[in-house]
Amino acid sequence: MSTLDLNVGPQHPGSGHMRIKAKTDGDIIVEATPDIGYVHRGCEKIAESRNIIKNIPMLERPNIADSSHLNWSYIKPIEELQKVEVPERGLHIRTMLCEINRIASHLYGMAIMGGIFSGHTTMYMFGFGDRELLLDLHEMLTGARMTFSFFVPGGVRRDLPKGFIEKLAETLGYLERHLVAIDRVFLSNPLFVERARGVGVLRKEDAIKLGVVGPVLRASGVACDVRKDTPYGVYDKVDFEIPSFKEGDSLSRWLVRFEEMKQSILILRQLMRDIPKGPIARKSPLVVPKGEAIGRIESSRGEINHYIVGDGGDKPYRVKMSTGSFKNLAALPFLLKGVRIGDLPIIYGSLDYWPVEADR
Amino acid sequence: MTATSSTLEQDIAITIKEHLGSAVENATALDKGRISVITRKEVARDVAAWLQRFGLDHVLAVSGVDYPWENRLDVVYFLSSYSRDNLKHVVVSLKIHLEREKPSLPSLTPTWESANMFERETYEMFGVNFEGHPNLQKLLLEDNWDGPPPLRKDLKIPELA
Repeated sequence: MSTLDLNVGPQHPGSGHMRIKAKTDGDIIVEATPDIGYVHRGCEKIAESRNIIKNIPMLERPNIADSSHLNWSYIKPIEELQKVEVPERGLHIRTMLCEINRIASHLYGMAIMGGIFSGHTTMYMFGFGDRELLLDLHEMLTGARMTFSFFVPGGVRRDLPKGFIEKLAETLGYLERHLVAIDRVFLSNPLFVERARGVGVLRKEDAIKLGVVGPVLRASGVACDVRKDTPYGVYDKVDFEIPSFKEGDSLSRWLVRFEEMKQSILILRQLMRDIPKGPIARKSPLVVPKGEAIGRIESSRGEINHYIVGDGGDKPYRVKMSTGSFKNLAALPFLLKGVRIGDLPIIYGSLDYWPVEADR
Repeated sequence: MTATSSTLEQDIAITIKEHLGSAVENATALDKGRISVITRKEVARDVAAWLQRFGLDHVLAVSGVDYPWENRLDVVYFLSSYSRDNLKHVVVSLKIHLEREKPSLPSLTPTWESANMFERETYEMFGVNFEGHPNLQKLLLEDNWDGPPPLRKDLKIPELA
């Protein structure tokens, strides 16, 4: 059997900053090896030489579409070591920003999936158009459309601005109506459904074995979500469900994210109603006390863990970032084995992989 | 609530200690869903196999930590569970102390497939040799990197000092 080596990437459209080395026989992929590291910046090394506050902007950059989760994941073990309790209102605002960010990130991913990986230009416009409204909310609350550096040890940097809740309610109302259109035009569109259904099936046992996280995991019938299993922020005070599908194919990975957006709207409505009064932050020392801690945060792309070792100085002794995209990459060579080249973009897109988050 | 949950973690730590006996140097319940287990590299495979059967079915992260003045390099595996409801909220850290000179330990990828890429990363960043790893190659660094393992403390970057 003579095979042909095919490089997919590393130029941006189609694979992001990564390369898939595919060994093909005809148009069947015999073996696929992801080659990552094109955007490796040594975040973990840099973090050891900066104080904990200066690290915040740097360590949230790996995923600009989902930076609030990376930010929180980095802050959480530090707060644990410092034994600083964040006031209730601070936790509320954090949870709120994270859920807005989750919807924005899913819309971004869905736009890329539609526009770039399945040639559905309307979804591309829908996704980026609707996301803009959420970026406006980000800007109103934090001052930045992306990469907010908004969470600091002890709380958040600013209180809710005047008129924010009204604007949020308005946006959620619009979004709820428009999700119906997204469903009709994209997710229930026979052209897309036929393209994605049954493609790249990850069975439950394999999902557990490969240790995938987030929507990729939940589309394979494992209803695990850090927000439910070990609640942080105020997730234990709100009612929501964990959408999961048992099919494990590319379509259900996007259906999970779609349902999650609806759940995020539900969560945000409850948070808007019950926002407590009080301080938004407590003072925290500018040191990482001696010890080690690991945090768990459910980001848009799955569970993120930051493992932090402190030695009592103002710089962390060691920061280990374990991100959703890195863990989900384990599924890619597995899913690409034996599929047609034409299915590669669909499978790759369904993982919602963010190269920089994996490379750090 | 904290009281009951910490008892659960203590129960898990005691179970681990009872089953693994002298193979683990230490198994302690830390606060809120964190359990620390320290073992030796000679028995790491057996310990891992038992923990896997116990229900810790995937790896959240593998990290190296370098302590040059103690001539020690730690490798830590963070484990959790998808299939056991009573372990979902738990993170067990499995720590192995190694010497800094040519550190090596048996790869745990045969036990946990999810450790595969994390071990490759620890290999290139800390120079730890994972014996029996199916594909121990560089992952993030460029192929022609010939400096010391970058995350070791003795690699100093002048611009960052």
